[in-house]
Amino acid sequence: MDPTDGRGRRALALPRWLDGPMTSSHLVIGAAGMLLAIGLVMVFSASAIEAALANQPAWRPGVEQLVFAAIGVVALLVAVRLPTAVIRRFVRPAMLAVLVLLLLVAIPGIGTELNGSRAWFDLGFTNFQPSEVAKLVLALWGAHVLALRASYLTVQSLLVPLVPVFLLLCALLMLEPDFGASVTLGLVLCGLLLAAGAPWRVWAGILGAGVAAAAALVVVAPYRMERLTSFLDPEADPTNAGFQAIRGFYALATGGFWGVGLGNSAMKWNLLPEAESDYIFAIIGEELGFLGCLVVVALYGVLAAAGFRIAKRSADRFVQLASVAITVWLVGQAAMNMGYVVGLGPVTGVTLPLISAGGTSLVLTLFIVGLLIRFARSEPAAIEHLRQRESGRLGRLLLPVPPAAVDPVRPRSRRRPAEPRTPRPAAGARTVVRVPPARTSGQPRERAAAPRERRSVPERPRAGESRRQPPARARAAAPDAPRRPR
Amino acid sequence: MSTPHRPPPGRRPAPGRTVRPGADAGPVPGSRSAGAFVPRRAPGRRRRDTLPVLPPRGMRAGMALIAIALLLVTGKLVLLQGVGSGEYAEAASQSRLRTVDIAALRGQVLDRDGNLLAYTVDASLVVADPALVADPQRTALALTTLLDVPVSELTELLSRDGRYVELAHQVSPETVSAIEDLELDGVLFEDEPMRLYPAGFVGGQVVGFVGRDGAGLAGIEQRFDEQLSGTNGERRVEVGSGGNPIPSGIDESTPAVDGSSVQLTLDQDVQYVMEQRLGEACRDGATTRASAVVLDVQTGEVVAMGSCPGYDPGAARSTDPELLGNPVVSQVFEPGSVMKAVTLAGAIEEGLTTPDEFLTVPGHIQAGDAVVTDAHDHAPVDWSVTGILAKSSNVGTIMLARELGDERLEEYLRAFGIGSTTGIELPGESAGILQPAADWTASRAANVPIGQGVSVTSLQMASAYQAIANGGVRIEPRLVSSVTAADGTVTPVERPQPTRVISEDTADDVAYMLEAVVGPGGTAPLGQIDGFRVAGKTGTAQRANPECSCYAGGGYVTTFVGFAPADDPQYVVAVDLERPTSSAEGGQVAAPVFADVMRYALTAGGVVPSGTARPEFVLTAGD
Repeated sequence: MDPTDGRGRRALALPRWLDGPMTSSHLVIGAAGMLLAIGLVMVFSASAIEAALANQPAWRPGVEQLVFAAIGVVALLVAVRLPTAVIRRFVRPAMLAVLVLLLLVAIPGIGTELNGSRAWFDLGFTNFQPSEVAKLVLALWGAHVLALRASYLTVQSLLVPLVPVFLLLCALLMLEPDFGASVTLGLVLCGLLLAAGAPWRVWAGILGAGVAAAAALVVVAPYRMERLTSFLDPEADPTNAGFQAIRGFYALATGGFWGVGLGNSAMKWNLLPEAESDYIFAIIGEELGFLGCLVVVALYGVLAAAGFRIAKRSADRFVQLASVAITVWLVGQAAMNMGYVVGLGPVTGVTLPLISAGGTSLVLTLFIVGLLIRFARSEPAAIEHLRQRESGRLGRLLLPVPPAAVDPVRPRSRRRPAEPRTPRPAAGARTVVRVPPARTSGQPRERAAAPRERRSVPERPRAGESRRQPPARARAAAPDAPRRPR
Repeated sequence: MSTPHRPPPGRRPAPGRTVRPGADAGPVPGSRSAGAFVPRRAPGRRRRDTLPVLPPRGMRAGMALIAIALLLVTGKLVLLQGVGSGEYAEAASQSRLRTVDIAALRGQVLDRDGNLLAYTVDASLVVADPALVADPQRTALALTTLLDVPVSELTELLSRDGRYVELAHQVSPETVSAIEDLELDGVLFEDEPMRLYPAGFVGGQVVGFVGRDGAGLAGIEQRFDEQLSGTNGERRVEVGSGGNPIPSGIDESTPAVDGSSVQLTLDQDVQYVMEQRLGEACRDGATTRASAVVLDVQTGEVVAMGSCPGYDPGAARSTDPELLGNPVVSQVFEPGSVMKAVTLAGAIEEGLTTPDEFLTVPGHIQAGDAVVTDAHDHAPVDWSVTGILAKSSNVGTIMLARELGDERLEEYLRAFGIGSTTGIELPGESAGILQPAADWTASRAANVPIGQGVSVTSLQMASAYQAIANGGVRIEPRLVSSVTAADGTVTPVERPQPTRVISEDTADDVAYMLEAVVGPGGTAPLGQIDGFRVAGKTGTAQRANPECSCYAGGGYVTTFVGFAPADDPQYVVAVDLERPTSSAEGGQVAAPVFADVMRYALTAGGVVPSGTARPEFVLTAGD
């Protein structure tokens, strides 16, 4: 590989043994899997006492969480098998559906109100929270829209369909009202803007708009001011606004460095409200100590690194945008949750993804993790690697090799078959990262291509092979291309 | 916009990013499915303000922001869990810590045979936290029959604003478990042991009672409160919401040390009979108060002590507070003629006279500005000293007392315990009233030898006769025989030092003379007991009228103090009846009470009847 490539970032570069073609996928699977495992154990631990005190079986909330995790793993396997083309074909109707759902859920009688927020549909066996779906759909739809116009993206075309839709979703969420979901939705938007390379003035505008929105919310309902600022001095009102925060500090401080031991938490004895969902990080801190917290924080850090690595190495604009948006959302939400538990921010009520108790949220988060795994396995280097490796029948069934690094997007509807497509070879809805010309022709060309490669193409020697391949469109057009039977 | 990482225009163009090949100029409106992919600009035209997707600097900034956020969380965790954890952890465990008192079981009060006079059983105080009671009306309905408190009262208590209301006191463990089965929110229990007095009125004034907080307020309960109450223990336990103990939390307890048991010298049976007899006396229509004391002659121990009207310690709270005392030790009265035995004992001890010496006793005698007469004025008569006592002659006694002299009389009175407390283990004991001889007027000097102008308690009177019966050795009366700690350690109480008051011969002489009182010609034939020789003395003292502090209209205090068997004294019984409206004499009303009480005491004590007959007495010269 080109020696100039890694020169600037050698210090931050992963060691060679950790920088393989499958690293992204393994990091996502490992980090998310461990977070899920920790979450299941801690939800079990944190909820058992409250359930027992409420005369329910002590295992019930834990087992419920386990069932949702099982459903979530199914969703994850579905996501792993889901070609990006299929996702992209359905994001527009999905966005419309989400808008309708959010409208419906705000109607009294259809939506179920819990904790002063009409955010749930009562499905009988469980409650379904459409705002969770809204975040995912916004991430995928935004990535799709931006990927389509990635090559000629201007500030206007970046903001115009995205921000109005975001504001519409936010308005619908504030009807419920669900402040936490709006904030998380904002994280998704930030992720998309970050990936699309929004300039500084856009960020400044967003910051200003956020402050203005917060001010407007406080003016409309002054009680929010207390919620927003009570984290600065929880002791000022220890029985009301600062109650949960102080109990959270108590739990963390009791845990100390080593923790009091799994199951030994004292604050989960109905002393810390929302101990198994919003404040589960405090229980982790109490039972597993600083070490346990450090593991959780580190795992989110690993997840973030993996997400950005996928974006960097992927050949598909959609995948790049979506994985950055998803990563910013997941890890940002985790940071916000942990931040308010340790007293660094206002208590917004966002949950700790993959850990907090909660059905819809867990299933969706695992679906998203599945998407990340899919994206990771669609890295050109990963496809290359997987094709060369023989895997068993079960492996193929569970984790199929993506057919292409860049999936072509076909129109969903065939209502207009007469659309003249053939005369315009450039009009295919395919958003491939600029593939450099084949480098077999000679050294000088390769040198010339180097600065551009750094942007998005992986710097592994193996990746060169994938780059030498014809563009995916070309491969898709050639039916005799070597493909694994599906 | 500035994107410095973009290749400068002068160098190679970046075709994919800034320049789009294609012939179309401008967007194709309307067509969504295809239009978005249509190039909007002629080839070769460069847009200068397109955005670089996935700019490395932006990506690095994003990753740095996430890293900073996670590092901030970690840093705050270090502050919370490492550096500053002590203060919060301390506050956390303090906020969970509850200290629960473990009530020490109060000791028992027993009679001399081990019969229970007072003991404690487990019971609970039912309290509620109104903030946790969801439906006061329903909770009140559920509790009303179990607690025997009206619904309206319970509802009012449960609807209050505070966090603590007391619903019912001294609820039995069975009721508590029945309430626990209802699983009512906010209803809690506290230890509140219940004091029971199985004997009821019997010995009630001696045993005393405890207040609502378990502290002794009268009698032995008050005097021995420290020993009986023991030391409360406490349990420090970490609790979760709703008071559930946290298994892994702090759970330390200091065990309670139960109180000691106090054994009395009382005999419950004698006490019972005595109180029955006093009650009968109180019902005769003229007696407003009747007191009696039974002492063991050899030891000075109180075998029975009480007065009517008494009270039941278990119902002390609903009893007239005026009655919640022990008149036997706290109420003083002028004893009257029973004091003559002390005066004569002094005269004989000093060798001034003998029981058989004859004196010519006039019917009245001048004493300063007053004239003291005998019960019935009479012509001068020759009475033996025994006769003077048997006939209860005031004049004869005053004559002998004048021989003795005021100072020596006072010495003897004080030696017999008059004018000072006996030191019995009961609160509120009175010392009586005995002025120093130097302060006596001539009339007072004539009154004191016959028991007027001097005040005593029933117990002091009995104690004086105990000295005579015990061969002149006085032992101060005591009520408690031992204190037994919860671990079984027995601590005997300190015995008072016996003191010789008069010589044994003098004591025998006085005892001999006292026997004549119940004999033929004496004042108290009703004091006789079949089979036993009885010695004793009647008293009929003018009672000071509390309304005018004079004797007019005060009625009489009739007394009888005596011991039996006279040949080998075992028990002293002192009886005094307060009869404001009657002029009956001690020999008529107090002596029968004495006889009944003494008879039972002798029988119950297994005392052998006297083997000898009462000697013949010569009371009047020439008989």
